[in-house]
Amino acid sequence: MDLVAACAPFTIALALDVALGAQSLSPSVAFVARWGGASKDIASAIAIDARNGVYVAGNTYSADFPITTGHTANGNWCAFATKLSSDSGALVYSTALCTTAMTYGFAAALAPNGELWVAGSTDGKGLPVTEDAAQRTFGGSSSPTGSGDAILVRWSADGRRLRYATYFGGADDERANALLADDDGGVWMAGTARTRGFLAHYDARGRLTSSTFSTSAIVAMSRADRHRIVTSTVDSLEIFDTTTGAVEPILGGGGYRARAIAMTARGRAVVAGERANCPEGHGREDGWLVSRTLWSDVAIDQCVGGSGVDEIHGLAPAKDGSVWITGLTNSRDFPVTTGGPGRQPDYDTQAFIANVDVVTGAIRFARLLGTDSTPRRDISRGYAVAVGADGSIFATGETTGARLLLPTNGAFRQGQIFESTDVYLVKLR
Amino acid sequence: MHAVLGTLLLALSLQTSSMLADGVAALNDGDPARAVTLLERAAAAEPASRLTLLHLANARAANRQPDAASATLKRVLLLNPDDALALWNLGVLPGSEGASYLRRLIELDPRYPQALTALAAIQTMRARMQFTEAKRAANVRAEDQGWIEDTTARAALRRAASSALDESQATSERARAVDATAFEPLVFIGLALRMKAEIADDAEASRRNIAQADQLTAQSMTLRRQQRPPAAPPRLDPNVPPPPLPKPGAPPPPPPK
Repeated sequence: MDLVAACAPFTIALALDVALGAQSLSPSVAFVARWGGASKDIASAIAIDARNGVYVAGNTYSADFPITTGHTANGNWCAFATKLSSDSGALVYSTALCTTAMTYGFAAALAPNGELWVAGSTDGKGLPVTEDAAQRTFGGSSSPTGSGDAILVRWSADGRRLRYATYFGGADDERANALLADDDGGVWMAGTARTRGFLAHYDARGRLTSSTFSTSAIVAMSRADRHRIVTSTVDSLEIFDTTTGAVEPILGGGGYRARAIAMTARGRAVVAGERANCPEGHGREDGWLVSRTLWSDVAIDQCVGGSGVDEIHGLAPAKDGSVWITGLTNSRDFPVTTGGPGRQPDYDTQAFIANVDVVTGAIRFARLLGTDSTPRRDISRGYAVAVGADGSIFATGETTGARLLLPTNGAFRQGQIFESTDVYLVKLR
Repeated sequence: MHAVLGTLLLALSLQTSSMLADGVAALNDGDPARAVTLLERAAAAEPASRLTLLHLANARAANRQPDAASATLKRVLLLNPDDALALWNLGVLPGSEGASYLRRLIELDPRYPQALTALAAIQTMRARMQFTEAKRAANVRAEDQGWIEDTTARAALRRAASSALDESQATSERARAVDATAFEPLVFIGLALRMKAEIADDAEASRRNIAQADQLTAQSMTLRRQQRPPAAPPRLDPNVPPPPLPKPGAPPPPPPK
């Protein structure tokens, strides 16, 4: 194959990328759902199926968290999973995993049969491990405030039964930060093992088929192709070959804190988080995003935000090769591209959602989530974003008070009456 | 004539006790809205019944009507200003007056179970709100929790919140002295110390406060693990007062790093 032919796909992709930069977007809110109990309820992860379902996983400290599956919250930290209709935001089910210890869910992935994998941590005995669990006993915790062991659970498609639950950990502290479905119904789970990172694979039957350790905690991961996974530590990027186990560093250097990673439709690895002292930023801490192809150097190293504190927590590839990001900001000059409610945060933090061209770094769309309530005493924070097959965008996070994120008619709505936080899910279309 | 009146009164009394029983049953069945309707009728028929009023207040609280529950409990206090259960319930319902009812309860019975802890919870949350408001006023980001270098801002925060912080810490220490196995007082002391760390005289004093707060967090987590899991709420009995309303909870421990 000659050089021109070999480069053709990349040339076309580049041309499309450049064309993309000129476009602007103006999606509007399709629904806002909001739910929780009297204490803290915080979303961590989001997943979408092809059958009109959107799943939000996270953590609740509310003993009255809305649960429809017969399980009960108990006032400890509990991992929850709520499934809503992706059309209307109506509730399908809401369930929680509570133990006698603190149990957290930080990541989620869908199995092909509609069962939901959730990974996180628990700091004590009491996880209702299943018969087929890869590790049935609690390994331990190195300190009273430590995470204990990582956990991996899978809920049935109706959310009623825990079909799989296992510990993963030894005497030190481990926690899972990321989950990735494989092509065969199993999952890759990555996270923190004391000061190191781990990457483990479970097959569809819950058997631990491999586990490796890295020098730093893994905070996020994404599929590069059928056999390769891109993993992100707080300040570096590596490619893990799932067939050989080889690890190849592709980005490092520090100075930033990565939180999310995605592979775009055009083969770019995009990492996002935050960074102090951005070269072109003007806040004391800016959202930060780096995009590169796996075969060349860094394409963009972009700071996003205003004069205050801005953080990117969630990242999802759009179908057109750009990325959607969500996070939080308290910059009064956050670069929104749209007017209307929620265009400027007060001193308090507000969630944002934005679309970024990963070739030029242009922000094609950005808005804050919420209203211009007065007085401004409510906070919202964006934690995860996903894009549906039809291009709809789903963003989730937490919000306080009753004024900032107002649920829309028909969407799930069960919030606390006292000041705390609720989970929200916003759909843009 | 007397026989007719007696029969009428008996019928009325039976009807009232039936409404009370039905209202309590509705609450047991998880229908607080219906329970409120039935118990309001029972309370209208017997406005001086402590038992009915306490059940009505309980149903209103379960129906997320804290103001209405509070009004009902104040009617119980009109019958007996020293009613400990009414004082407790008024103390733990959301609202601005809770602390005063708990103080009254502690005056009457200094060892009333959990009263000091509940008071510490309210005072700590109030101190935290004052502190947060003062940070907003001083243009300090509410979520930043490090030592505030700006002398003027520190002074403003001290003026606004120091006495509330001292008060909450003192009550928490008393609660800790009464019950050394309770984890909540440690959480509240830790919270107060973290806020004080932000407005400490210098960075070193701030670090000392944080270290102490971290130690208390670890201790509180250890104590929390030793506690029994909460029992399932008992079924309510229309012939006895409902159990006390739950005390305000401690804020959640932070997720693991």
